[in-house]
Amino acid sequence: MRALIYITVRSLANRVRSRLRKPLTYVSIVCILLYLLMMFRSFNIIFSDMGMGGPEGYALILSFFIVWSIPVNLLTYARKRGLAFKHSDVHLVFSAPIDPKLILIYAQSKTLPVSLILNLLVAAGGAFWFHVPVLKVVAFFMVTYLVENIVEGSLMLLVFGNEFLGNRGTKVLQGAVWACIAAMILLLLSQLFTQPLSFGLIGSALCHPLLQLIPLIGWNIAFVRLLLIGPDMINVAGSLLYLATAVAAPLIVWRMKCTGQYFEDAMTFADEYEEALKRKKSGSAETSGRKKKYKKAQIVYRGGGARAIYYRQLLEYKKSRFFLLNYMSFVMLAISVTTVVCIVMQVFSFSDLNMGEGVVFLLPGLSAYLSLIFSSITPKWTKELSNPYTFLLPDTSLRKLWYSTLLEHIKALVDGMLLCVPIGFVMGLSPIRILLCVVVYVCLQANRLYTSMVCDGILKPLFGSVGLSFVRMGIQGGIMVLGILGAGIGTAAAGVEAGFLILILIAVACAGLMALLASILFGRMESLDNY
Amino acid sequence: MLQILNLSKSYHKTLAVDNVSFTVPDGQVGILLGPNGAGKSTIIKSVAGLLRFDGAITIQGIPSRELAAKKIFGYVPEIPALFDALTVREHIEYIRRAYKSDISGDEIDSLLQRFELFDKQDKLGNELSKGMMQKVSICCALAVKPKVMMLDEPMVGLDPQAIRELKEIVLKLRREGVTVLISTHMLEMVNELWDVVFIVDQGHILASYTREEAGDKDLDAIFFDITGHQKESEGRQS
Repeated sequence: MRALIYITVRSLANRVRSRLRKPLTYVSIVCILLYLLMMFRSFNIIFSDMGMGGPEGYALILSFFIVWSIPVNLLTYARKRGLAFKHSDVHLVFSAPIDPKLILIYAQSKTLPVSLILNLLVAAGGAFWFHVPVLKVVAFFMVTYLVENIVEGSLMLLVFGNEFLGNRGTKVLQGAVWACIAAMILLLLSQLFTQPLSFGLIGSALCHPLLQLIPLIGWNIAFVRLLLIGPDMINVAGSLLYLATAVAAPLIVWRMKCTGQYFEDAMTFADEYEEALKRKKSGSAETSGRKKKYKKAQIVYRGGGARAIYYRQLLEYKKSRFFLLNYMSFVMLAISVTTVVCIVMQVFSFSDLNMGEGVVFLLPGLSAYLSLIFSSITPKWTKELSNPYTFLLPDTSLRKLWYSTLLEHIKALVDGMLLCVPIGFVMGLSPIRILLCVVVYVCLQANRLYTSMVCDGILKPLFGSVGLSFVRMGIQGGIMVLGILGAGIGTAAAGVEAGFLILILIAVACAGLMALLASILFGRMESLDNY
Repeated sequence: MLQILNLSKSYHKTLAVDNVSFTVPDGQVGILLGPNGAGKSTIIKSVAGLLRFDGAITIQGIPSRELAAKKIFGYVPEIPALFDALTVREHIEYIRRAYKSDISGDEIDSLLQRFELFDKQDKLGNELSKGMMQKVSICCALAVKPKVMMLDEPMVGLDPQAIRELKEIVLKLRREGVTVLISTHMLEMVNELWDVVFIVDQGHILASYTREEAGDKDLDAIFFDITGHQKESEGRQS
């Protein structure tokens, strides 16, 4: 145990020391504090307006988090996942003479600092937003933090480290968790049919006596309600069962045999976790870390040099499950379908906006907003710059850049059609205007792509990761402002189509400039270090 | 002594290691040889206690999963992975505490100097090159002061000086009665080290030789004699 404490303490100290050397840390702390201050003030008003500004509302919010987090955690543990093991743990901890149960506690303890901060914020929220007396909040925080961690830690050890349940037993356990979730859903549905549809329906479901009798999830809610609101028969019974679990579970764990059979599963999880961390670091949205399955496919290469990059990418896409479609395509489709349904169901109407002809620019506005909020996500082409062969190809940097990103433009065309065609159709736009909206989407995505390339490849050493996000958004925002100005002038001078054309010309010119800058990256192998 | 008895391991329906048994006696250096996908890594990971398996593995007569066995067992994996936020020195300190090793500060200094890590002892794990990580990994295994030591492709990524040091250390360990098992493809690197060699293919031990049995033959010749012969017989059968 001393060795594990040593790793934890030294790692934390070294991390804090290296962070404190960076001025950006202090800027981030100030930003976070300001954000929290703003949150505290605005939530105070929101909760008061909703009539939840008392201990009852506090208990409801906490119940919601319990209902949401406990089943997810239990199911994750039952699948032998959810603990942040890394390759260093596999190498230096699993093979060491350390009790495998302690190794599980060590893995879970990695989440404790974050959960402590969150719990402290929630406790502070209890005093500020829900006007629970400070002493009561402090006592509540200490008791719940201790008891909840004992219960969750013991359950994690029982599920992850047990060597007596086997596969069948684990499946029974998963079934039990699902049964609890099903019971909660049934309860919610029963409320749905017996009460008028309103926000209060969730509240009455979360404090329903039957919910407080559902094992673990309900017992935890009962415990919270007992401490915050006071005793009643149901929450006392639920709390007693919860406390009994907090005593019995550690005792069972203490006696449980655990020789480290879980190492094999944890090793697989470590591979996936490290892969997911790597992807997250590179900005990819696909963070599952699991190996992808590919179909069989063939392609005929036409032409040589940098064109080979395009055909190789096309082959990879043909092997993918959804060909050119990815999560962004589905996000676009979801936004498009939701908007269409809202317009058809008359939830809102564009005519209410009184924008006249300018309403046609709402779609490009939506495209611009979407490309801005997804600006930090790195597209698939970036792996070309992490591949040394790209630099060795006998072709010019500009052609390498073009053929590395050509499929991204085609993908943007598909996504743009998914977004603009349905919405444009229900808005009653002409086919030409819908087409112009799609072209604007493609141009904005091209700007996003080349701006990211310039930022990640050229500007990163100057600004660091956090600063870079702001720079990236600043450049994209600047391009958008230019486009909006151009579109405004064009529309005022010669109509909507002219406005669109000027917008497109500005976006193409900016994308071209960014592409020219980004092409430098394909001419120097040092770019490998950034990807 | 490292003893492996009837070791079998399957991944779903694929049998990776089938009923493998072998022993490396005290104070001897065993070499595990085999082509890619032969099952060497599975054997190594099973010995290190990282996989579930059927059969028995003992370290100095103690089942390998027991803490007493782990305490006297040093392991250098094929791909070293260090703690990002721990310095080189802190890695050795962690090992000293985890294994309750009696390695002294001076011994740690001399180990770091041997592998040219002394001036890099304050570098963090995520600041090291792959070669340096491999050196730290070897130092960690040696800091255990093991009775049995297992090295998986230990020479990969090491510079010539470190390879020479490692060879000298293996010979020193042998003289001190430590059992060593090395899995490697770099046959010429271990030619002067080995006492017993096990040739693995398709999850089986095809043959094992002691140095006396091998006579003048080097590992290269032994390996191709066995695996080449195997391929010929497969060709004849088909």
